[in-house]
Amino acid sequence: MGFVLFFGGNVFAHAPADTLITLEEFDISAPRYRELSTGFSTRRIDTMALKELSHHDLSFLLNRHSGMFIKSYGPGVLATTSMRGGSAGQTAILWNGISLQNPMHNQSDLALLPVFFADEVSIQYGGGSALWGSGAMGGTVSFNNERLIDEGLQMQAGLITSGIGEFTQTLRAQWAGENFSTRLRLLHRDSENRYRFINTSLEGRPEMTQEHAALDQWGLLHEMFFRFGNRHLLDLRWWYQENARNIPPALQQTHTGARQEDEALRISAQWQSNFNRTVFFWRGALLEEKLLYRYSLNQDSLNQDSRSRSGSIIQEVEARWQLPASLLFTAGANFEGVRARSDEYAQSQSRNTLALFASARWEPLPGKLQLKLNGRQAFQENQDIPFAPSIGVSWKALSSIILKANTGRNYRLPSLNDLYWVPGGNPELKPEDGWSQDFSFNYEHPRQKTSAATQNHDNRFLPVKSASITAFHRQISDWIIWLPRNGGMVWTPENVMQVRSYGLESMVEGSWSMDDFSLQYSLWWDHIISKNTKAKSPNDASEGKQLIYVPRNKAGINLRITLNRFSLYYHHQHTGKRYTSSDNSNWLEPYFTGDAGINWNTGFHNRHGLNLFANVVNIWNRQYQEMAGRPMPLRFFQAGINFEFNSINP
Amino acid sequence: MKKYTTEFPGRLMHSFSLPVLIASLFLLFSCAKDEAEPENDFPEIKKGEGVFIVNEGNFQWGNSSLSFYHRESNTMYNGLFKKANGEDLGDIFQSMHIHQDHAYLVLNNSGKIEVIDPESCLRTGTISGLVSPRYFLPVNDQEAYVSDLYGNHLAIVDLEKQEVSGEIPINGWSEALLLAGNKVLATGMESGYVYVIDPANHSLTDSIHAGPGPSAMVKDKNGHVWVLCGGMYDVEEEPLLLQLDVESLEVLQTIALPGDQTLYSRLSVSPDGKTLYFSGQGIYAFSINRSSPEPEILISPEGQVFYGLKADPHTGEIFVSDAVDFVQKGKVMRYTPEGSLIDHMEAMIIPGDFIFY
Repeated sequence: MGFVLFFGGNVFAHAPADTLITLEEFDISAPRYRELSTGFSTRRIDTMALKELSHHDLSFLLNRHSGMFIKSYGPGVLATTSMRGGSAGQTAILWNGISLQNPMHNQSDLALLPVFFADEVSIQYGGGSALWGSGAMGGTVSFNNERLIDEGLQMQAGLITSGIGEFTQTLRAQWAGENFSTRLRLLHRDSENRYRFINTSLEGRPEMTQEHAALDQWGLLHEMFFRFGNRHLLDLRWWYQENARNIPPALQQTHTGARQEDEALRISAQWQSNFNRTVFFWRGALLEEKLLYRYSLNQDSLNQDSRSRSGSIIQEVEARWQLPASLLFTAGANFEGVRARSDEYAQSQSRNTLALFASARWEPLPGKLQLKLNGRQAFQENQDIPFAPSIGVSWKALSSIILKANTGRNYRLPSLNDLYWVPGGNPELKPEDGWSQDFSFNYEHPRQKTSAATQNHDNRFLPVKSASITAFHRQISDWIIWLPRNGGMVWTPENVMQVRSYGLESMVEGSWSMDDFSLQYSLWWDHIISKNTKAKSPNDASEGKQLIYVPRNKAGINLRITLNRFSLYYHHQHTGKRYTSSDNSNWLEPYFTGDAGINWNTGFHNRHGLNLFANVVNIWNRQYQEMAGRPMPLRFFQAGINFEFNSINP
Repeated sequence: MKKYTTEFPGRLMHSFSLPVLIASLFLLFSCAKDEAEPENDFPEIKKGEGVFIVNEGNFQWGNSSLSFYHRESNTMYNGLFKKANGEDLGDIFQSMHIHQDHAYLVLNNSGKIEVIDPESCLRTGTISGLVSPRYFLPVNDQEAYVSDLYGNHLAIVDLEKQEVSGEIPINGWSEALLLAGNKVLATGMESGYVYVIDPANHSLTDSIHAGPGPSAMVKDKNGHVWVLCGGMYDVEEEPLLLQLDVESLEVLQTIALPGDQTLYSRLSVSPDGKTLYFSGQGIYAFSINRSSPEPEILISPEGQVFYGLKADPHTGEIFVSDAVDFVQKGKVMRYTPEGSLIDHMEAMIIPGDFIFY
C-alpha cells in the first residue's frame, strides 16, 4: 500500500475513505489543530495535490488549491498570504502547532517551506486567537507531519529538472517498528531560475529573461517517534534549512545586486501521556532564524548589508480531561521567549509572553450537536493583551448536512520591527484587535448508505461529493500601518486603520469512477470585501475602499483524471483585480493561469515503484503580476522521476 | 458493468444546481466595475502657463509619473510621459530640471535620466548608467552634474552626447546642487558639508561644515545662499538654516530651528528673493530681513502631511503637496503668499516636487 499511496497515480483506489459526514472526531488525543476547531470552516488540501506539487513551495500549492491570495514576488522569491482581506502578519503559519511567524516582522516566507516536507496542509478559515494567540486573525495554515503507520523500511529518491534551469534532488527514508520509528527527508534545489517574462513597462511589452533570480536551497527534516508502553509517546523533530537567493529586480530597476541568505533551525519535541480519561502534553520548541540581506548597486560597491537574527523558545503544557456527559475539558499554559538582533535596531530586543488557555467542548446531543468554548489570555511585561474568547457550534442538521457557526475575538501584537526599528519604530503601539463571525454550510454525499447496494462502489458518478459555503464578517481596529512622518523622511507604524471584511468562501467536489478510470474535480471560489472604514487624514480618499492587494474574487478548478497507470491533472485559477492604490485608482488587471501535469506509475516485484512525471506551469503562457512590477514566469516545463523501495510487501 | 447509483438522473439534476449557482454568483460579483480614470487629452504645454509635478511613485513599484497643471484652465493632466511615449517612466521620480528646451527627469531607482521635450513630452534621449541619482544641474552649456545617494560621487553628464562623461568623488550621499557665480555648491547629507566645485576643471576646491542633513539650497535677492540643514534622525545636532556668502564662502548667519524631534525639508524662495519657505510640522516662512527673529508657521496642517513645497516664481503662490498615505493619489494645494488656501487638486502617487514652466 505504501508505494501506491505515495506515487498515488492510481488515486481512485485510495480516494478518501467513504464516510458519512461527521462532526469533529471525539478523539481526546488528536492534535490541537484538529481537535479544537469546532465551528470553524477548515479545508484540508487533497493529499494527491501534495504529491503532485511536492517539488514546489507552499506558496505555489496554496495559490493553486485555495482561494487564499498569495503575494509572490516571483518563483522562489518572497511570498506571503492574505486571508480574508488581512495582511501577511494576520495569517498564522503553524508547523505541527508551532507558529513559524518570524517575531521580527510577524510573517513567514512561504517560498521557503517546501511542500516535500509536509504530510498534511490544511487551512482553518477565520480568526483563531483564542486557540493560537497573536497573529491568527484571518486564518491559519497548518503545515504538518504525521506519525508513521506502515512498518518496515521505505526509501524514496526523486530528481526534478525544469526549463528554467532547476535541478532538485529529494530523498526520503523512513523506518518504522513497534516502539520506534523515524523519517528523514532531504531536499536540495539549485535553480538558475531564468524564467521568461513580459516587461509591461516598456513599449511593445517585450519578452525578457530574468537573469537575477538564481537560488540554492537545501534542507533536512528528521523526525523520531517513540512509544513507551501503551501510554506514552514522544515525538522529536528537527528541521534545518539554508537558502541563498538572488532577489530579482523590479521591472523599472535597471540594476540590482540584491541577495538574501536565510538560515533556519527548528527543533521541536512533544511528550504525550494517555490515561483512561486524561491526556497530558508537553511541547517544547527552539526556533532560530538568521537573515543576511545584501544590496549592492553595481558589481564593485556593496552599499547595504543588513543582518538580523531571531530566536524563540516555546514551552507548553496541556491537559485534557474527558468528563461524563460528553464533556471534554482542556487547559494549558504556553510560554514563549523571543529575542532578536538586527542591524536596524538600537540594541537586541527580547520579549516574553505567558499565555493561559482553556476550552470546553460539550456534545448535548452526541454526534449531532457540539458546542465549544475557548479562551486565551496572554501576558507581557509592557503590553496589554486582550482576552481572546471564542465560541463555536457544529450542528448536524441532516445526515448529510452540518451547519457551523463561531464568533471570537482576535488580535495581533505589533512585531519587533514595528516596535524597535530605527528609525521610526513605535514602542507605544497597541495590538490590532477585532471580532469575527463565521457561518458555514457543509454538505457531504451520504455515500455509505448506497455503497452497500452496489458491490463496486468505485463505479459511480458523484457530481457533488461534498460542498461547503461559508459566510464571514470581521471588524478590526487599531490596524497597524507604516506612515510617513516628518515630511516623509521617517516612516512610523501607527494604529490607524479600521477595517471591515466580509465575504463568502465556497467549494464543491465531485468524482466519477469507472473501472480503471476516475475523474475528480474541485471547484472553489472566494469572494472577499475588505474595506478601510476610517479616513487616516482629511485628504484621505481610501475610506470605504477595498484594501490594496486584496482581490475581491479568486476562483479555481482542480481536475484529475486517472487511467490505469497514468494520471493527469489540471489546475486553473482566476484572480480578480488587485488595487495598488488605497483610493482604488490604480490596479493590476485580473488574470488566470493554468498548470497541467502527467504522471506515469509502475511497480515491480510488487514492492518497488517508479514514477515519471512532467508538468507545464502556466500552460496558457499568460503574463501576470501578483505584485506590481514583479512579473511572474511565462510557460515553463518540469520533469522528474521518483523511485521507491520498500522492504516489505505493501 | 457500468453501474451508476440508481438515483443517478435525479441526483444529477439536483447536484448540478450548486456549482451552477456558485458559478452564476461568481459572474454576478465579478461584474462590479470601477470607474475608469477620466482621461484628459494631452495638454497644450506652453512656457509660462503652468507647472510640472514630479510624482515620485512607490519604491520598486514602477508607478512614478509626470503631471502638468495648467494654470489658466485650472486643469491637472496626469501620466504625461506614458501618454507621450507609451512606456512607464521609471522607479522613483526624484526630480526634474528644465534647461534649454529639454526637460531632464531624474529616476532614482532606475539609475537613469529621461530627457524629454517639455511641450510634447516626447523622449529625446536617456542618460543611463547612473547609480542612484537625486538632482540634476547644468553647470555650463556642455555639462551637468548629478548628485547621488549611493555612488560616492557627482556624475558629470555630457549634455550633447547625453551620457555620463566623468565623476567627481564625494564621500557619501550627495544631495542639493546650486550654481552660484562660477562655483557649484553640492551638499553632503551624511557628512553635513557643503562642497564647492569649480566647474571649469571639475575639481573640488573647498568645503564648509554646514549642519545636520543639508538637504536644500536657494539664493536670496542679494545672491547669498541659504542652506537648510533639516536634521537627520540619527544625528544629535539641532536643525538650522545657514546663510553663506558665495564669494568669500563665509557663513553670514545661522538660524536655529525649533528642535523637538522635528525634521525639516524643502526650501523655496519667494519671487522677490526676500522670503524663505520650508517644511516641518507645517509650512514655515522666514523673512531674510529678519522682520521676525524666528521662522514662523505660515500654514498649519490640519491632519495632512506636507510633502512637496515650492513657491511659484511668477505669481508667488505656494504649492504644497500632501502624499496622504503614500499609496493613493496625492493632493496639491495652492496657497496665497499669505498662506490662505486658494484651491486643491489631485496629482498622482507621491507628488514631491514642482517645476514651474
